[in-house]
Amino acid sequence: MKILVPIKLSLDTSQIKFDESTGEPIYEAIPKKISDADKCAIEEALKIKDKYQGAVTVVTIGSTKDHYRMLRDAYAMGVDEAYLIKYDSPEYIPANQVANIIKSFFEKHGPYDVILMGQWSNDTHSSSLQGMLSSLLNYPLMPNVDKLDFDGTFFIGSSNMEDGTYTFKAKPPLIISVSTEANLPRIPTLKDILRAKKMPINELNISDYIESIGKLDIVKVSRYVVERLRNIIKIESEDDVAKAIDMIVNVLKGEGLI
Amino acid sequence: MNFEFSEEEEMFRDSVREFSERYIQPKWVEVDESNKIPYDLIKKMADQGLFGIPISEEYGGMGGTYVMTAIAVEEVAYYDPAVAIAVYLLLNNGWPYALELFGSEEAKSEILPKVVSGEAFFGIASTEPQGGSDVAGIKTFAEKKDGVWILNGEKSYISGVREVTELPMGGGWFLVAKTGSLEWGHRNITAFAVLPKWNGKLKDGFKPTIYEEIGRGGLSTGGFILENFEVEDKYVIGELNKGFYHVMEGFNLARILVAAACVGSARWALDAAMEWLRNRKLFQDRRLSSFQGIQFKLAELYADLEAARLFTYKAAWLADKIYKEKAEGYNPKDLNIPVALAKMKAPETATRIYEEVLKWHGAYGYTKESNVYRGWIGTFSYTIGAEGAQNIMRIIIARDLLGREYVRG
Amino acid sequence: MNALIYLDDSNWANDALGIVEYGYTPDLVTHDVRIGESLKSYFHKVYYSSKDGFHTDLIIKLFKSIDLNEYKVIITPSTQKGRIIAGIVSGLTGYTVYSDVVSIDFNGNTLERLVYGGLGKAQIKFEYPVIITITKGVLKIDSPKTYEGHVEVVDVGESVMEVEYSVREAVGVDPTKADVVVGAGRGFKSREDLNMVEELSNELNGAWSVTRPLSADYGWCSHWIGISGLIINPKVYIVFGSSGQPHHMLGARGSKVIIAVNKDESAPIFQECDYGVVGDLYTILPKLIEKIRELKKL
Repeated sequence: MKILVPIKLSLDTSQIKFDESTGEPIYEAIPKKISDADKCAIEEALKIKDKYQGAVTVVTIGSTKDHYRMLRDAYAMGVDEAYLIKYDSPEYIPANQVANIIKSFFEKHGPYDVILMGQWSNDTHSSSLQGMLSSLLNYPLMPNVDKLDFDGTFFIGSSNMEDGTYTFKAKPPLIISVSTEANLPRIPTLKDILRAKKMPINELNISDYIESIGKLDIVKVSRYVVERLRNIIKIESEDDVAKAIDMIVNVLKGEGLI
Repeated sequence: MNFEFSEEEEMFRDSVREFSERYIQPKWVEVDESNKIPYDLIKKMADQGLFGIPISEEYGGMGGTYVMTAIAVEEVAYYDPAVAIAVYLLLNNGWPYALELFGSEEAKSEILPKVVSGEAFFGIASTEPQGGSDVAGIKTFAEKKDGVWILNGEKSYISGVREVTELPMGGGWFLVAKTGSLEWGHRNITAFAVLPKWNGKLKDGFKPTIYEEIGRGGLSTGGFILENFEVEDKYVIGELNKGFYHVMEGFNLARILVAAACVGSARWALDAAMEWLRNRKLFQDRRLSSFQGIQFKLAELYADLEAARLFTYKAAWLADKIYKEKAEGYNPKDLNIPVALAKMKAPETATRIYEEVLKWHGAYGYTKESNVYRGWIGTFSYTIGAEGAQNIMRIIIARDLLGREYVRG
Repeated sequence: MNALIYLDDSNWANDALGIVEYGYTPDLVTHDVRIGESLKSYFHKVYYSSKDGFHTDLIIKLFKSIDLNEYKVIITPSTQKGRIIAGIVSGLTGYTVYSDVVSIDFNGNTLERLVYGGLGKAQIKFEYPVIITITKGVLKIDSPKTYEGHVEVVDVGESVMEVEYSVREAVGVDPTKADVVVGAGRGFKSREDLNMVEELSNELNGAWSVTRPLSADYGWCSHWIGISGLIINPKVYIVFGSSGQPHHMLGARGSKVIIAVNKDESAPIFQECDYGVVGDLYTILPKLIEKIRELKKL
């Protein structure tokens, strides 16, 4: 069973900081890490490898120290091969071009029985790559899986969408995307880390995978402020409590709920 | 010079952080309140390879460095500021490593894998009712009769007494006793691996008591009386009558990790304090963090913390040069001063940091809810002098600086 | 100019049909025949597949049978399925997708989309043809125009994948359908204390839920509100003891009015609420229940 896990280095959104004057993110101050769902995808791939025979390959697009470290971490978790398609600002590549790059990779280094990927990345949450790969490769897609099982022949995945629970069942070849609910990724031991040190990071030229690369025309990134009334009462005395209760009751009355 | 950690050291630090965030952080207060580390947490730490960091792969260990061991202890202490779990970790890395350095092949193959798997405890038993710092004055006596050592005496203020009796396999201590003569001295002491419980069975002649301490309750402290307690010859650690020197090397190794634990716990205290300082407002909506007096103190404490941290890692680095790399020109004695500096600086810095942090928190700091006091009281055990009295560290440093002849008057 | 809209939920129709106000003629594509039938009068052309259900291989066939070159704009809702469909169409056409669009200037060729889990927004210049996944309110129309509604059923054959769908089991009122939802965050100290939350939701004939840690970590509730859980859009969302982390708020942003009670005045939730109380939920919540019961007696 050959499994491909495309992974993305994303901004650690739990540490987002915006510049007070420009309103723009202070990129240098925001650490980067592997998207949480991608890490769960690696874990899911390794679970299959642990139980059945398999080889897990990870691929990413980038060039920085953080990218190399991400691949090294993947090795420490237990993947078999790690590839780095070299490019300086992968975050500006439109997602459908990323999909085409992965398709080329798939054709050159594959074919793979399963593509396991994260439902969405930490920083953009677009969730569009999975659909793109599905139509480009014409592989069925099992999306946003919270719980994945494999019995040796069939994959069974259950997803919690907005309208209810979906249960999918299909044989490889296919694409599966997992949510962060799917598993708790393994933490490598020191031995795993020392072993990962010796594994090769295979560098590839992006021009071998796509002819021309576009650039998203991002005008500005700023803090998203939701417009809300922000009527706040601070409790400092018993009177304030009564005021607060009245405020809430009035809102509920106003909406016809009492 | 290189003041950076290597990539594998950073990866290891991150892995211990992730583990601690997942399994230790949610439990540290409970451990401190209930005075017990649940066995399933010990098992998880063992499965993660945390009890065998410097132990060679031959005995089931990770084959890592002492710097990595210090990293693990520092990070665990950050997530367990009350430090009972961090101390459990450091004892079960430092003293087993000392066993690996000096013990017999038989003893090592038998004991080390069981410590690495979390099934057994292996700490230090040196202190006695009449003194801890005065190792040369111990009175526990070991006599060989018919090829077996018979031990009689009493040890007190020993970590792990309850754990040894409760763990599935059991365990014991790197213990020092007088051999040959009971006189005060350095050359009539031998080290033994004393295992009062082994293979799940409690041996005869071991009478433990558990103390009630004011803090760091997750790891027990107690004493025990040995009454004609039998120890097989294979459990002699190192050379006969050279035990004093072996245990001193062991103390050097353990003290590095103690410093790491104090640094980790104090780091938590400062981080928790900074959150408080940023959000607490008084005197007409002014943030605590805007008062310069607070800023000055914070900067000073941070400088002390970083200094303690540097001392710790320098000592750990030196330990690797001496014991792991066996590098040319490096001697176990070279560790004495760097370790004394780390062991002197780290606990006292932690105490100073906690005192200040508690004051910043005001009345809230005095409540159990704030949890800050747990780290204060936990690390204070090392300022009082666990694993090496603070003034002994000063004597070691002064004696080395001035010269032995000049400190006698 | 033609726009193609994908829908799998009729509730989203009015949030996409606003496109007609920009001079676009709307066509509908859906894999759910009931939706196709119920909405066809608002669309010029309606495509739906011969087989219901979220079978991505059949959905690809469905889209392949449509001449996608006809469309300048392709719209899907900002839901899990909507984002996937947008990706599928992008793979088939090569058009760029922009997800979670919160505003769009069709003439100026710029749009704004959410990033960083809802904490930030990116303003981007786009080119036609374009695929957008829109959030509620962006293309909202109250009275959509009517059209001929030509239906074309596309025979997509059989799928290689089995798909089963089940409605979410709600204990009590379903938070995703309720007019009022009461939420609980980490300010609650025990499962028993959540009974007050349930009581309040009962008094208001609404639903209740929690933030993720209370469900996933403590197991106090089988569901939670957040980007990886339930997305709610009640008239009123009143939440106690939650700090307002982005992942949670992304699930609650669709609420018309948000009321927050938290004792930490620096909690981010106070930036995202309409009415807030900086106080102890253990004081406010019981008093609120009491007051509501009093009023109901009158």
